[in-house]
Amino acid sequence: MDVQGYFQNLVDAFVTGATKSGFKAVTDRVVLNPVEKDGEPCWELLLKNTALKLTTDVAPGGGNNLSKKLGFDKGEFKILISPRETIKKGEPWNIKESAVELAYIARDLSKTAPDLLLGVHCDFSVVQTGDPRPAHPLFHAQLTSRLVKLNDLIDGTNLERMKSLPQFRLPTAHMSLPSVLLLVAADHFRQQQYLDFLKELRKTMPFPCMSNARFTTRADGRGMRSCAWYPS
Amino acid sequence: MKTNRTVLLFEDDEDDRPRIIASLKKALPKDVEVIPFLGKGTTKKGTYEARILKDFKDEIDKAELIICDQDLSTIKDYTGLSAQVITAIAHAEGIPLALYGRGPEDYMMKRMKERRPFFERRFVLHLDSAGWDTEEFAKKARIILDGCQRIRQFLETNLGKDGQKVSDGTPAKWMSKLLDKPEIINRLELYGSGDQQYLSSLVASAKQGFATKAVRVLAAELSYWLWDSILRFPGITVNTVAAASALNLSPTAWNHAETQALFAPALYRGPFGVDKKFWWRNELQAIVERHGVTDGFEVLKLKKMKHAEASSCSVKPSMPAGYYCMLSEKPVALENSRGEIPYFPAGADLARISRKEFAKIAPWAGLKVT
Repeated sequence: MDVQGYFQNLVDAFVTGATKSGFKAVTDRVVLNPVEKDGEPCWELLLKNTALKLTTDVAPGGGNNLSKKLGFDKGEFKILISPRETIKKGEPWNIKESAVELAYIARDLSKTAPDLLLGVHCDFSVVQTGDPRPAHPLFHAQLTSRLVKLNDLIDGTNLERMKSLPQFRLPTAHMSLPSVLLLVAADHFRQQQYLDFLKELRKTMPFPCMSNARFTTRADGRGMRSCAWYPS
Repeated sequence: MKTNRTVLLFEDDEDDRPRIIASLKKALPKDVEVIPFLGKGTTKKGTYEARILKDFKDEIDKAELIICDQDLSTIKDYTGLSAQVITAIAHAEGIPLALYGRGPEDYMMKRMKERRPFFERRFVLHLDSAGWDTEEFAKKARIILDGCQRIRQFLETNLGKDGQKVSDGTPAKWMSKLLDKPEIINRLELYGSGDQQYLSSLVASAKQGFATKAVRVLAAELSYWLWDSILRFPGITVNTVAAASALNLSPTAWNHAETQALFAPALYRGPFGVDKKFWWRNELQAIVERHGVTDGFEVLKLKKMKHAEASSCSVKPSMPAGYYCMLSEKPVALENSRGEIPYFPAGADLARISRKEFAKIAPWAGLKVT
């Protein structure tokens, strides 16, 4: 199975949907590095340029209504998505680990620095060795200003809004890269572009490995696909 | 009666015209007739476009390519005829169009300064007024003609000459079939998601009565798209400089016969791949990955090739490159270049502008400097 080809296609389809929805975006190369996890050969998936960047203008009367929502007349709204996933070789539909950072940034041109509106870190790990971390839902999203992979890209951004948030780990569906792309598409693409991307995603969507015995008995991998949670 | 293929030439300079015709006749296939437009015609009223379509219907119907001077103005009975009129006719009739101008070539820089979109639905040839090489000019015209013919024949075979099946697919789908690369359809959509949305409306309108010309029009548009966008901006295919840069190889290491042999399976052999060489970017990468390493430099070292040498950024040579500057046409590092250029296709992730060139062009092109 062409793992790189599958993920590259998905990233390209996502960026197509974004540009057709009015965002400025350029696709990025999906890179697979060979690594070992639990003594098994795996791929580590990254983006060559670290993150996908979707940018759109904020202006009064703009079709996206952002000027009203964000409360300023002239600026820019940006979405950054940065993944790191570990995929078991030989069974490409199994993701052993995933960490995806998602950042929403608004730039009011009358201010000196952009603001981090929302920083989210979605991750899970189903590695076999060791106990799962205490008090960590298997799949969760964490609201945070500490975005490690996106750190260089948000350099100079005002993080105050997110810094004061308490610890907050929300149990979720497995939010791997395809799931996070779908989240953004559902919230920010035009209707047809969102439907096109959902259709592309539903052709195949990677499952997490459910090889940890603590969770296998509790979870049915098929039912936990996030794309099953959306109507139409 | 044998029907010749024809190429129409619109050139108003009476000294240049025979020289251009002579060079074209030498370069083009023997069955191709070069017909110069000399004006005259019987229709005297109406727009130039209407008059040409009426008086020269046969020539227009048989034309496989139009070659047109950008500075037309003094053709007999057609004083003031402009390339814009010929462009309109070419687009409406689905005849591939190649414009040419005089003066040294500075294509990409000029286009950005004038804020022209990256997809302009025409080919551009060049006559350098300082040292006009008619043979180079004619050779390029031949490449364009052959490429366009190949695309048209593919579509006629797959869509039928009457274009009944045109609306069964999207331009990206037809392009992926033409190139025999179904796996790149999403990347092609990215090359088409900006200014090329009209390509989709073209397909939709095939249902509404222009079906008889649908194949011809679609063939011409796919030809422009392939030449001016997909092959020009590295992402799906790469030219020789971009290939070396993406593989982290110096030009010398890349051009070495052993390296070329190693990566030969990735050579692009589609339309227009004659004059310049292109490679399939994914296939270059696949060759690297099969060796279990991260780039071309590692492959050459693994194979103990003595000519192995890493790439270097044209802005800061101590750094490896990885990308391609569209203005300087040199390898460049991510850190020393700017991406997300609005004029570039969203799928061309290797296409960037070096910081030095960007600083020069940004004010002209309306780009933010910071």
